[in-house]
Order: sequence, then C-alpha cells, then structure tokens
Amino acid sequence: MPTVLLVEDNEMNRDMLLRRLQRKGFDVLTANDGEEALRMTRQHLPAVVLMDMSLPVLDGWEATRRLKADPSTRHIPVIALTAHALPAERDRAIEAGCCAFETKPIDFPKLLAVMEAAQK
Amino acid sequence: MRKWMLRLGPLDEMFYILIGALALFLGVGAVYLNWQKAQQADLLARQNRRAVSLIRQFELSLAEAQSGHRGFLLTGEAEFLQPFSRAMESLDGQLILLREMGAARGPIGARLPQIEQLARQKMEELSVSAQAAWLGEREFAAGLVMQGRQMSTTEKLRDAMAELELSTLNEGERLNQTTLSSMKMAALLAVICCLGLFILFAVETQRTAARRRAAEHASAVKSAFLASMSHELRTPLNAVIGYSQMLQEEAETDNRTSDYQDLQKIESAGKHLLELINSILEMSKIEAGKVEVHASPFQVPDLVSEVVELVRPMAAKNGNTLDIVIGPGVTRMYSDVVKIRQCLLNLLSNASKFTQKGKVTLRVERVIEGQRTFLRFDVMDSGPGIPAEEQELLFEPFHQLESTPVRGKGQGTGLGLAITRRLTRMLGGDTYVQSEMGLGSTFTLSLPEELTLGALHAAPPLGPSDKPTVLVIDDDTAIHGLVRRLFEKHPVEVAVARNGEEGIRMARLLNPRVITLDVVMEGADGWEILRRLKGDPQLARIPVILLSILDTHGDPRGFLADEVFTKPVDVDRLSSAILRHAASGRAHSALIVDDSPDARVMLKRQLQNLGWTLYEAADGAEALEKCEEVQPGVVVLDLMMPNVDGFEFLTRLRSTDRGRETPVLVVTAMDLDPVQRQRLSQQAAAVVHKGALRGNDLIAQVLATLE
Repeated sequence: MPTVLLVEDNEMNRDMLLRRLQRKGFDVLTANDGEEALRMTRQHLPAVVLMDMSLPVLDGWEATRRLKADPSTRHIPVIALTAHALPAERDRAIEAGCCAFETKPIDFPKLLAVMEAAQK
Repeated sequence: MRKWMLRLGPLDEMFYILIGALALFLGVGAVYLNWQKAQQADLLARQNRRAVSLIRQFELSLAEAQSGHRGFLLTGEAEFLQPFSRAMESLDGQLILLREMGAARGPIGARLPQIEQLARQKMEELSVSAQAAWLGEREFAAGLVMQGRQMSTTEKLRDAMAELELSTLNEGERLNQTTLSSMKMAALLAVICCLGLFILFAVETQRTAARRRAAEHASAVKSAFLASMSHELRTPLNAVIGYSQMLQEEAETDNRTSDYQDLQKIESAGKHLLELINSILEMSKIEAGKVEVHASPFQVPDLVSEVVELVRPMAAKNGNTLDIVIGPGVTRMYSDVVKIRQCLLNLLSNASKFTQKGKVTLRVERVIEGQRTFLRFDVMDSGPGIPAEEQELLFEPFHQLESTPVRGKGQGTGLGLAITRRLTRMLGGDTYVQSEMGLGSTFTLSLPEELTLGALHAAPPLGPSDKPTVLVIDDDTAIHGLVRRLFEKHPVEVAVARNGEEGIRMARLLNPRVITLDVVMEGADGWEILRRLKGDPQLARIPVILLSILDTHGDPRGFLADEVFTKPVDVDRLSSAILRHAASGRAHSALIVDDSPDARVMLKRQLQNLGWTLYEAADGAEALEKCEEVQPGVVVLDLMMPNVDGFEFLTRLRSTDRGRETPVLVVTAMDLDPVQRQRLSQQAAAVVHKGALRGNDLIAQVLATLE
C-alpha cells in the first residue's frame, strides 16, 4: 500500500483521518506544520501529500510552493484539505501547486477517489 | 490636503462648516454692500463730469456775452447784439440746469446760490448797459460798465466758478479713489467667498468619503467574519462527522446495530449543521451582492433527469413516487445552470421531505409572454398543503411553517426557499407558490429561456425584494392579517415578525421602507426595540409607526417614533400613514398629465396624502415643458391626449438627459394591444387601469415606481 503524508495541525482531525486512512490500509505519516511537512516529504517521499492550508510555522500554500520548486519532490501530488469553502480558496490552492482541493468536512469516499486519481 | 481632512473629528467638522458658512455669508453680504457703494460712486462721478462740462460751457457763454457786449459798446453796431443775446439766453438755460443739478447734489448746491446771484447780477449789468447804449445813452452805459468793474462781479464770478470746478474735480478724484478701493475690496471678498465655499466643499467631500469608507469597511468586515466563521465551524464539524463515520464502519463490521444507528444520528445532525452553515454563507453572499451569474447554453431535459436522479432516494425514503413531465418545445436554455440546478434540487427535496406516501411531479413547460419566452418548472406534491396566510412567509429567511409536522425536527434550514427566490430573481425570473390545504402545493420557478443583459439588469442586484417592503413587528397576528389585507392588491410587500428580536433581524435583512411596531408585546419591551432600531445606524432612517393598545400619546419614549397609533386602529388612516412614510424622502413632487381637468383633480386628490408638490399638465407638450422646468420625482401619465399623446411624450421624455430616468406611471382607460403594452413596458415603470383605482391604490402604485 502507498505511503500518505497527512499534514494537519488540528489534533482531532489529524487523528480521525489518520485512523480512517489506516483502516483502508494506507501507511500514514503525519506532520503538524509546514516545516515538518517539508522535512517529512523530502525524507520519505510519500505517494501523496494531504495538506491542510492553515498551518502554523509555515502555511500550506508556502509549503506546497516549496515542494513544487524542489526537483526531488516536484512529482508528488499535493491535495489541499481546507475548511475555507469559498471558491477563491480553491484558486489559491491550485495556484500554489495543489492538484486537487477538498473542503472540510471531508467526504471520505470522495477523498479516496481523488487520492487514487492523483497518483495516476 | 487629504491628510488634514482625514484627521477631522465630528466636532472639528461642525467647526469648519460654521467657519465656511460664516465666511460665505459675510462674503456675500459685503459684496452686496460694496456693490451698492460702487454704484453710488459711479452715479456721483457721472453727475460730476456733467457738472464740470456745464460749468465750462457756462464760462464760455459768459465770455461770449461779454465780448458781444464789448463790441456793441465800442462800435454801436447792432450785429454785436446778436451773439450777445444768444449767449445771454444760453446763460439763462445753463443756470437753470445748474440749479437742477445743485438741488440733487450737495457740493454744487452749496455754492450755487452765490454763483447764481453773481451771474444774475452780471447779466443784469450787461443787459442794462447794453440797453442804455442802444437808446444812445453811451455815457450812461460806460458809467454802468465802470461801476460794474468796480464791483468786479466778473472776477468774483470767475473765481467762484473756478472754485466750483476745482471742488467738483477733487470730488471726482475722491470718487475714483473710492471706486478703486471698492474694486480691491471686491477682489478680497471674492477670495473670502471662494475660501468659504472651498471649506464647505472640502467638509462635504470628506463626509461622503467617510460614509463610503464606513460602508466599504462594514462590507469587508462582514465578508471576513463570514469566511472565518465558516472556517471555524467547519473544522470541529469535520471531526464530528469524520469520527462518527469511522465508528459507523466499525460498528457495522462488529454488527453493533444500535451503536450504528446512534452514530448515524450524530452524523446526520452534523450534516444538517453543515447545510445550515452553507445556507447562511450563501444567503449572506447574495445579500452582499457577491453572487455572480454565469450563463451558458445547456439542455433542459438533461438537467431535469440529473436533478431527479439525485432526489429519487429522498422521495423513496418517504414512500413517494417521483414523476417528470416535459412539455413540447422544452430543449435548450441559456442561463446559469448551477443556480437553476440548486433551485430545482431545493424545491424537489422540500416536496419529497414534506410529503408522505404521495406523489411528487416535476413539470416543465415553455411559456411565451409577449416577446419573451419563459420556462416554467412546476414542482407539485400531494402533501398537506400550506395555509394561505403562511404562503408568502415561506420566502422570508428563517421562517418555517408553524403548522408543518416536521418543524423543529432538523429537516430544513429555513433558508432554502428564500435563497431559491433570490437566485431566480437574479436570473430574471421568480419563484412562487400555489397551495390549498389538503390538496398539496405547487412551487413554480419561472425563468427566461435566454438570460439577456436586460433581464439581468431588471433583476435586483442586492436587496431582498424589488417592491417596497413594510415590516410589521407585532405579536398580535390579527395585526399581521390586517396589514397584509391593506396591501394585498398593492405592489407593496408585507413582512411580519412575531417579536422584537426577529423584527430587528428582519429589518436588517429586508431593509423595509416602513416599520410598524407594537410597543406592548409579550416577552419584549417594544420601547427597547424602538430604541435599538433608532440607535442602529443601518436602521435609524427607517420610519417607525408605533401601534399600541394603550394610549401612548405624550409618552416621552415615543419621541423616537415617526407616528403613533392607538389600537384599535383606523385602517384607512394607518394605510395612508404607512404609504406616506414609505414614500418620504423618495421624491418630493409629481407631475399629473391628463387632458381632462376632472381626472386631474381626482388624481391630485388621491396623491394629496403624500404631502408632495403636485404639478399638472393638460397634454404631452405641456408635460415635456414642465418636466424640463421642475423635474418631477414621478410622472403620472394618461395616454389619450390631444397634440402630443402619452406614447409620444414617453418617447420624447426618454430621449432627454434629465427625463431618461424619471419614473413614469401610466394611468389609462385604454385597452392596450400587445404592441402598445410592449412599448410601455420598456418606457414606463408600470401601467394601471383608470377604473381600478380606489383609496390608496394610486399612492401604492406611485410608491412602487420609485423602487
């Protein structure tokens, strides 16, 4: 099963998504902030990154931009997960380099489908 | 410049307005006085110039008389007498002119008696000696001349005349000086006036800018608040829904049915909460005018089957059948498919939710009205029906039916229909309902097949309604019914709130033209609500009519209200008062155009209550002149008139700069053909039939044209 990096600063949401993804058989790594996300991605080169956008230390937009600027991580798809529901937020995420955008509350079956599509 | 202006507080502002107004007042006053003074000086100077020229003529005539006199005495030739007598006559006339001038003028007048006396004396001397010489008494004549020389009348007269001329010239000089300083003063005063005007203008500009900034700021704060509220609510909801879904999967695997069901309830409550947040966010975006229309061509049957498939499970859950009927000609549409899908989903899911073991039908028809084609989507159900008095309430935010069995069971947000109506209006259409108790309901979306720019502009960009709204805040439902009935035939919308809190919320949302407020409500202090309405900058300018069961006239708390009624109210007076307040500040005058004097009198009587200035015109030509002259707030127009008729008037009025936007209400006895109706629909705000006007009908119509 592929490795997924889940970047989320809200403990409950991180724990919830971690467990649901694990139940589906994914190897899940977690990061609490943007800096940690960069470090973990470079170290483990996961198949997909699930990125919350409002993060401490380094926000999700900047973290995604840096991942996309780095030749070693550029190929890894980043899916934005955010509680910002306005259409402008989607554009912002896509502009930063995300390949997809899912709003919270997460529609889990849809997220799985998006993750699968992103890896192809 | 901008910097110091930005720092002005309200007190400073008043100070500057006072300074500005004072400068302007003093400036204008002084300019007037100065102008008068300059006028006077100019008059005096002109008189002086005339006086000097008279004096010089007089001296000339005197010299001529003397030389003629001398010639005659020396030669005894009669031909010298002719210039002599001519000069004497001129002297006489000039003396009269000088005397006239002297009567009007101080400086000349003071010296004139002396000069006149000397002049007369001299003339007497000359004529007596000339006569003596004529009679051959040359010696006597010579004696007289000698005597005259001794008296030196000529010298005295010359001196006096020179003195008069000098003083007149001096005065002229002084007057010139005065005029010059007046001009300097005028320039200075003009500068002061300009300064005053500039200060007033600057303060006003600053005020306008401040108001605009405040509005922009409020809008930005609201948007930011909504975005962050939405974010803050979604984050914990994500955990609630996610965990309950996860646990549901576990419970299902372990066959723990009762846990599974409870977890489902948590999930469904979470999802309902989410729906609510989404609706509020959407409603706020519509209210703020931030929803954009994106039109594209699409196939209506495709949209219908897509929507129906989405709703089918919901209908099946309540044991309902779901049918589709698509009428002839329904194919392509050019509009905002996302918004129409949302509206259809809303109506279909409502019908499926509120109907048990019945039938839900979606019927689509193509309707041609004049030159425009509409698509009508009827969502019909065999549900319980909706009582007539609650039908319009459905489209107001947060109103759910009192009588519905599902109220309070978390089945709706109370915003769905309000959003649907606003969205359809944005698309140039409307949403309405027909229902009878026990026979089910039909909700209809009527939308233009082609969304044109014209249709978009006709739709209200913001604001909840395109009709003037009256908000009734009262716990007494009899009053709700009463006010509704008062305006049921009028283009006036009546919204009701059952308590003060709801009233304030609705006032913010609906921006009504008038509020009626009960001051003695259960569970709320009406006085407090009045104070809050008038203390809220957004609401303070909305007129409030107090209705009370107690006599509150003279209650000092009532001074905030715009009018006070004691229940039981006189309905005619109440409806007049509501309409009058609704119209206040919207316009100040109306022009009544009708060729029949009787009709004009009748129309005038009907509009009197508005307290506006009413102008009249007997035909289109006169009406055009009046429009140019007084620029009326509204024109009430008859069509059949001699010379220039109503149609021609409208065409000409619309081609003028000032008349392009003037609201026109056509009041006619004519039966219009479709072409005429089409023409009027483009040029006039509304057309009403003459025979149909009773009581306050006309005022209500006029009011609606101002929206």
